Amino acid sequence: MAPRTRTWLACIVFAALIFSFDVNLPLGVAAGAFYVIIVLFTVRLTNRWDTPLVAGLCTLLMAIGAWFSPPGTALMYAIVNRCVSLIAVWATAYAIIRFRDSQAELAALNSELEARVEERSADAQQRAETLSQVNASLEREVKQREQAEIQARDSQAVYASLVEDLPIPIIRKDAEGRFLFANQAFCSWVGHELSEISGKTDADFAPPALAEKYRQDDLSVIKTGELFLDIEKNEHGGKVNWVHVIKTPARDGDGKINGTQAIFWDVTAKRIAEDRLRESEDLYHSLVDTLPLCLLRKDVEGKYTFVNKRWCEYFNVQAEDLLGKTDFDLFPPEIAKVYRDGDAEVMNSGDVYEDVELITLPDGRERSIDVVKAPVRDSEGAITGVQIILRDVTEELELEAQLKQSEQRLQAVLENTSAVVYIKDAEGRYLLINREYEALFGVDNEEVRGKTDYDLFPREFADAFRKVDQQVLQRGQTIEIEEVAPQPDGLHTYVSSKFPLKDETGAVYAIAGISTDITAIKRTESQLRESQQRLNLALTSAEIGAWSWDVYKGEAVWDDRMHDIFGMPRGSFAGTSEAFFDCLHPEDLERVRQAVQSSIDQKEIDLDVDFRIVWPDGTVRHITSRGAAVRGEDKRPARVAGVCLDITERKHAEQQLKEYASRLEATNRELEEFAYIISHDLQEPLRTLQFFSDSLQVNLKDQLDEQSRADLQFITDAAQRMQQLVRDLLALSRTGRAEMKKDRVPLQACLDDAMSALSNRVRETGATVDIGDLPEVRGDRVMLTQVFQNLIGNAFKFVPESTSPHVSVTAHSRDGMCEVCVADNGIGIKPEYAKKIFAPFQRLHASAEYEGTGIGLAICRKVVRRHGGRIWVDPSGEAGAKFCFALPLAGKSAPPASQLSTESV
Amino acid sequence: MESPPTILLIEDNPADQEMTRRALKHANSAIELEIVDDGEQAIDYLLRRDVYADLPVASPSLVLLDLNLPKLSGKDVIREVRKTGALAHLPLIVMSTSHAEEDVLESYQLGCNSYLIKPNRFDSFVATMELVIRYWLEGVCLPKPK
Repeated sequence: MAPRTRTWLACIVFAALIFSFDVNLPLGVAAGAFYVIIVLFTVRLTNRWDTPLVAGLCTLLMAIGAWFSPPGTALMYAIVNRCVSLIAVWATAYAIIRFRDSQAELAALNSELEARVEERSADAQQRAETLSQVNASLEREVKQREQAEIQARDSQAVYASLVEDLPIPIIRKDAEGRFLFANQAFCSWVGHELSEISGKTDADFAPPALAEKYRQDDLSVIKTGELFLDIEKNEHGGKVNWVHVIKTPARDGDGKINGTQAIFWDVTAKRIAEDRLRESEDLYHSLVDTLPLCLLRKDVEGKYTFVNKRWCEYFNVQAEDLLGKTDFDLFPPEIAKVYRDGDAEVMNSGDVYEDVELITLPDGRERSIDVVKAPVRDSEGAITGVQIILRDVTEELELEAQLKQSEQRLQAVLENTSAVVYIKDAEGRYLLINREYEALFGVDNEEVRGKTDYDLFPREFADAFRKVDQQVLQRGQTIEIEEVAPQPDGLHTYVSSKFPLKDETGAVYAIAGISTDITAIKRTESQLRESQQRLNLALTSAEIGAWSWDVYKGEAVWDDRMHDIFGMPRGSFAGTSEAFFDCLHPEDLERVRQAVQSSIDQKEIDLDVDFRIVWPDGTVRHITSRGAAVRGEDKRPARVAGVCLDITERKHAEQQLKEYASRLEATNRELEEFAYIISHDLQEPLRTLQFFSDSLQVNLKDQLDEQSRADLQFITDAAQRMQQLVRDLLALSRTGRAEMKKDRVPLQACLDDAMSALSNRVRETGATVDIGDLPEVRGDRVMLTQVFQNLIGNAFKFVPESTSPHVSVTAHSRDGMCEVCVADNGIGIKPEYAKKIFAPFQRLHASAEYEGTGIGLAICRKVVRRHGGRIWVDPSGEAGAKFCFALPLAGKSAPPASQLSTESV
Repeated sequence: MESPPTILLIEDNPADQEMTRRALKHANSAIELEIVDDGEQAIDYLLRRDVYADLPVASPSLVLLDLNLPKLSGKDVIREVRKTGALAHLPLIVMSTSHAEEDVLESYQLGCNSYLIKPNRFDSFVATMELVIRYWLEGVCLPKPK
């Protein structure tokens, strides 16, 4: 157990004892004084604060004890008692503390004393060591000095030889400027032996002005004792040398200046290098100022250290306003920060930063700027700032965009054209093909690369292609050629345009080709050629001239036959509208002009005009010309192509024909009138004849004998027949002269009318009639009824005796005409009479056998012809006769009337 | 006793004059037939002019006329007669050989009462005359001439 713990234990035990006493004793007993003992125990404790602590505790116990002690003496005593005890305790405590402090002071003094003694003894030992060391170093120094002397001797020699042999001129002069020494280099430099130089001065060698300068330099060195530096220009043998002169004072052993020594350093090379450097710097600056680049340098703090002229112009600022500033002085903080961060990045990483940024200039224009930020380094390689180079790439970008666009366009064209496009290198290896190529020849762009035509096509084709390619390579020019290539559906013809691709030097490095499939065109061309040949043949043999007229240019082109037709030497037509109009007959000129003009005005250029021309020799010819507009892509007439035909002969013939026709018509008319008049006038006497014969027969009935009555009957019959003939003739004549209607007529209705007119005959003869479907025709209902009436009437009439007539009427259409046939079971018609029977008054039988005048069929023929049809006897009828007639159907237009007027009665 | 009715025939052809006379005689011998050769005479006769001025005022009961007449045609005669108020209702019957439509139509338009085709045969001529007489002279009722 430690002494301190023991002391504390004792203190506590005693304190407990004293406390128990104190509590149990009545107040006023001086039990508190015993606490002094406890305080005294603390003498044994070394800690300074233990004593007051114990005293405190005792005080506390005293107070507690006073509170719990049974009351005893007067309170006054008790208080005094306690106070005395307290004072005793604290006085003891104070005494103990003081005692302990003095004891500690004593101990400190003792230990200091001991320390000093120790120190003294250590010092003495050190001195002894130092002494021995000094001795050793002295010995060493002596040795060194001996060595140094030896070295000095050596170095003197080395120095001498060094100075002597150094390739640097070195001299030494005394205070008066006389040469004392000059090394080999100097001697050879100035071109004198040392012996010649010794004792001489500069005045002996150099021009006076220079010698004086040298002397002054020397004096200055001697006077000031300072180093003299100069660069002198020497000329030796025309060569300019720059010499760096270093003059130093020369001293004697006492350090007194007794002359000068000089070293000459040829710095010509350095000087030249410096000049060059300066030049290159000038160049740099002029470059920096003239290059179309904006250049700015900042130091590590971001201050502007350099800005080129271009920058100032571009941003419209003054260099003075920028230098020394930072981005924060010039831009809003947020922008400046971005710049600053960018600079910092470059300086930290040492990497070059490049990007295109969009900036807005002071004048508001937006420009694309290529920004390059690079670290600036000093000669050690340490980064001292950042250099910013700006280049306006707005136009460049635009150009690029345009280039890209045009490339895209080209690509689009390549991919969408129906032409085959390809590029091959000089050796014929494919570099590129377009989609059309891929599709046509079943290869794709990737796999064709590097292949040649020999890989894709049979040898003979590849040979042909290669031959053309080589021609392009040799000539360096575009070649257009037709080529044939095999395709799955056979050979196709292409028109190829092959052209060289040249690099910057003009050397051909590839061949590009564009091939268009003209197989169809070729075919069309050959068809066209054939049809042209046929046309030509036709034109030539028909003596038709061809012309072509350009509507816009107003120019006309004639072929050779046109010239022949116009009576002009071939090739002499001037090609203008006026040249054409000049050929026209004056009476037709205006009409043709108007026809041409109106066709132009109405944009309907189809021409059809007849006119007369006058040949150079005065001959008048009739021409007919037709033209058709050839329309261009825009559907507007671009050209009129036409033909001319000389119709003079035709015109003459037509004229003649017209004359004949009109004469014939007149004759016919006369004939008909004649027939009418004759018939009419014939009737009068016939009537008289008949009337009076009748009268005779009536009045002399009983007076005449048999013979006379028979004679009178003959007269009467003859008159009757004559009467009938005249009447029929009149009917026929009327059929030819009467106005004919042109209505839509259902033949069925005509037939019905005819049958009702014949109803008596049907009743009398017991005839039967079969009627098929009949169509509508265009014509005169009354006349057509007459035809049916006559034909069916004939059928009823010409039957063998005791036979009932049977008639069948059928119709069918053929070639826009309707054929109607009336067949009977009668006596028939011999083929040799088939044509004759349509003539007027043509009879095949005696009047006695079959009555009639033979005019019925003539009238039928007249009617049918007037309707533009024809009538005939069909020989196919097995028994009886079969009459057929054809008439135009109602849908067809009426036949021209002129055709009918020329017919005879 | 009433005087027999008179028919005026305007006809230039003697054969026709005779045929008409004969037929009329066969039809009714009591009827008197006056014949003039041309249109002018016919007008003179009807208006009692010139050579006919002395004749009694009474006009014929019926006029038969041909169209084809010398001097004044049958159509002119019709026109003249119809212009004369007193003769406005005098029956005028054309007897012609013409079947022509224009003759028929024009005659009726001018005011003829009937248009007949001259019969060829004796019998039919007689029959025609009988028909005319029965109708125009015995059947029809006409206003009295003024």
